[in-house]
Amino acid sequence: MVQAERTQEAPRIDSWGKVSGSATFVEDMPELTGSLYAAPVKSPYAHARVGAIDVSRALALEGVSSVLYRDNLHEFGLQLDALAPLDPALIVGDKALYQGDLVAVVVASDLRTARRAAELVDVDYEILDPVFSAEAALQAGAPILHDHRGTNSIFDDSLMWGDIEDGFRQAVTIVERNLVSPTVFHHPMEPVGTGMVRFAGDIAEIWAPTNTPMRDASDIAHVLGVPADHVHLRVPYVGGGFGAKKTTREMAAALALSRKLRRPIRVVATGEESFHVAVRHAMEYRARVGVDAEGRLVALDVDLAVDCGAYFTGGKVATHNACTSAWGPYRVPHFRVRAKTAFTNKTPATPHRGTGKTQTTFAIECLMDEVARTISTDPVEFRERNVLLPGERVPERFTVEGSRIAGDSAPMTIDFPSLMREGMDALGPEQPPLSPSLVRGRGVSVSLRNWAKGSEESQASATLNPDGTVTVAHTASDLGQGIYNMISVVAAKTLGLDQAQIHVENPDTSTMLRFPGATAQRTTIELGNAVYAASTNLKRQIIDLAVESRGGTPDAWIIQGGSLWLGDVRYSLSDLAKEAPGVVLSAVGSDTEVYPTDDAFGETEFWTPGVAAAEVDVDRDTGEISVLRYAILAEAGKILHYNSARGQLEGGAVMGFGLALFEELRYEDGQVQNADAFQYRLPLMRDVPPSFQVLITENGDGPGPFGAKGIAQTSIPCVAPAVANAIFDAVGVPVSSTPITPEKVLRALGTLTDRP
Amino acid sequence: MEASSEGIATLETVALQLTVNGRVWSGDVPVEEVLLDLLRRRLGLTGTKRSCESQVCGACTVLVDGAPTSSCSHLAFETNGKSVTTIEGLGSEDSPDPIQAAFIRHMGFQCGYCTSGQIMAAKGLLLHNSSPSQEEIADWMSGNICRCGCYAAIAAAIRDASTRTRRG
Repeated sequence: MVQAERTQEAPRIDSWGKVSGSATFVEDMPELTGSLYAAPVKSPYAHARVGAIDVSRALALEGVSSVLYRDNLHEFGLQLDALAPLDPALIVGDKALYQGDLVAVVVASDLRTARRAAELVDVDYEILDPVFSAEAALQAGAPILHDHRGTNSIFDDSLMWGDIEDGFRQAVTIVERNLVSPTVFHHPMEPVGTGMVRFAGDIAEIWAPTNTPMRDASDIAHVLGVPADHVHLRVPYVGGGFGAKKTTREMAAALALSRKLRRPIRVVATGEESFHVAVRHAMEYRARVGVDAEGRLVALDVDLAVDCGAYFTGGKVATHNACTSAWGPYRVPHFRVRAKTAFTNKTPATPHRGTGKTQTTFAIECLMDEVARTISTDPVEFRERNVLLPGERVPERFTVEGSRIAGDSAPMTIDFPSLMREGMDALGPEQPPLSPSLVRGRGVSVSLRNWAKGSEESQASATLNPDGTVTVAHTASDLGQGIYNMISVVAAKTLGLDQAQIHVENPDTSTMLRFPGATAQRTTIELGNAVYAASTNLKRQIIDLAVESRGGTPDAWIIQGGSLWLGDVRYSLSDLAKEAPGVVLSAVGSDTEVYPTDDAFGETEFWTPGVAAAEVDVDRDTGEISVLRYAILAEAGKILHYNSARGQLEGGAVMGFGLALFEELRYEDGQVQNADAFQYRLPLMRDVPPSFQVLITENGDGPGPFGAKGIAQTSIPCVAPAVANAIFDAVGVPVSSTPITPEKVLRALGTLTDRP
Repeated sequence: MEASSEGIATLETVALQLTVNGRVWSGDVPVEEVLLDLLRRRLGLTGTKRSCESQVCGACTVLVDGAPTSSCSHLAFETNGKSVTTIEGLGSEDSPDPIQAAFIRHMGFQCGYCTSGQIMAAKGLLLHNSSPSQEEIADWMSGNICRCGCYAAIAAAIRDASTRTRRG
């Protein structure tokens, strides 16, 4: 393995825009002439039957143009169930299913009036009992959310190999644990749900921050009943996403209003409203694990309860990911996971960085430490004994959708034992804590994910401009990862141009270039390959044109250092472009040209590990936890831009500190208790450990351009278990749910008990 | 239906004069208008971002007479006679402010939404303390949330800018 070194690299292409405030986010876009403002009416109750809705006072307010709600949808050419089954309908019908469910959208001449009018919409609510956990929602007699279904159960998922009962018969030690990951909010800094819409002729135009523009455009087309190519969604800079950014119901409703009113409409979401758009799936992981006399895992049986919130907006992928990661990276001869998913009266859960895997990684990694300590084995040694080693194979293969594929999985390429040792070494020599009330501990955690190939191909186009520069078009939103910079690096390197000669467009769905979405750490691989293919195809066209106009053979021409060369003679691309007026050199490329496969596995399968080591101090008197040292290890295949890779790994870990120590949306007394920036504690600069290291290796074996892999989601899942295991090491007792608060530590220690 | 003005009082306005990025601006603004809206809507200075609107996250940080201030929660009229500096008032691409240059070198940003606020808070720190320690940086900057988690790079950028500025 080769340790990546920080090389001299050009700053990211979006650097100046972002440090000067000139990068344009949707709210920074200039006002469209005649623009109106939308404001939502949202259910204040988690579960309520909706009776009469009276909009007359709202409509009477000066400046109010229209209100869209259940009873007048037909006037807008809409149907209540216009979205796919189980997704939220465009707007609430006779029941509101979570606090924040969309009841109406008001449009007025200015935002203040629109918001006041929204307050004037009178809604009769009959409050119903809410249910706030998957386990409770699946019990007999639980309040039912979707009446017509008669149950809160959505679907069951499972995955198994070997014979679980036989496995437990071989076990000499059996450990049972229940590990809980709560509902959390992604909290991108740019509010979720801000956008701008307009109908121009019969074209629906949207400017919105979303990580899935093509899918959103298709959903919007479905809601509005227009052809998909009539929805032109453009994505400006996006102020973070982590799974929460999408074209919202408010924007779809605003488009319907815009179609009727023939006016552009601005939708402005607040930071507080953002908490009610998307959250992470809460999961409960009940496990029974058996080890034999040699301390080898023989059986793992997991029951997962997945809380999907009020609508089914991402439950399938989260649940499937949870099942395929429930065994970690371990050699488990007899394995079974059974997942149940349920509707609850919480904000609809969507993908959240490391979807489904962050929750199970916390669980399996805490479980491994507990087993190790039960059999008096060092947790690192226990892992070395049980983790899949290079060359070993996973027993079963599955498509992204969960169906089995015949044949062998790709062999493990990751050397976890050496990564773990490097991580522990990175923490340095152990030293005692500075105060007698403090206890110090160390923990390690590992995770594994494979490449989840997107559900469709990825495309990009490359066009030679008359000035000799090249424009790359695509539909992959940059949510901050540095995707446009990645495109620029790949195009420049493939074409032999300087990065200054590459223009990267913002996503625009009217290009009809396909891309499944900037999710699942797939963009560098799949879009990167599409850009590589488009650039290669354009290069061929450029050289063909050069041969035609200047002679020579295609093999004799090269593009290097930004120019065309025939032997020692240099030609500029702009001269070539100018000499052929009317000839447009433009090429589309697809990732399938680089990896012609339609499933995620087989020859193109690869593994990305996550490894982390943590050192903590815990105050036995107060329960206070300080993470002192933290090391992240990752395998990038090939780093295309070091600072971007480092940024993704550090950023994932920082978000992980939040999940480990602070973040939980608490639902009590029929309400969410802390859905605002004051009460929802996010990680701050002072929460970053004084020693915070990132160690990246480059094996060069990734399926992306120049051997790159995706790494964006490898650091986040390791944090909570590494910190939890370090706390366990320090205090000698485990904590079985995140966030690990001082209160939970004191309760685990038995020094804090409820008053009798 | 007759139009009503239910619940919406006509706003009182107040005459205001302030300096923004070295230029004097004067005009009448509603008494309840916050500085963020004055900057973004009236002056078109959209580099300052709106996020939590409750003085928690720091995305809207500007300098008011050199002090970092959450413009989302600061009434515009309170800046009467004062000097406001926004991200647009720092350097240019050819001649960036040392703190902007350091943020670029260390890539102290990812999505960029909080970056203007981070840079203005950092600028305020260096105006106040030209050689902050790591603890002082972390303490001062903990009012500016970066959900992309660029804190290590931001802290490195601030240390770097402080060293270079002192070296002159």
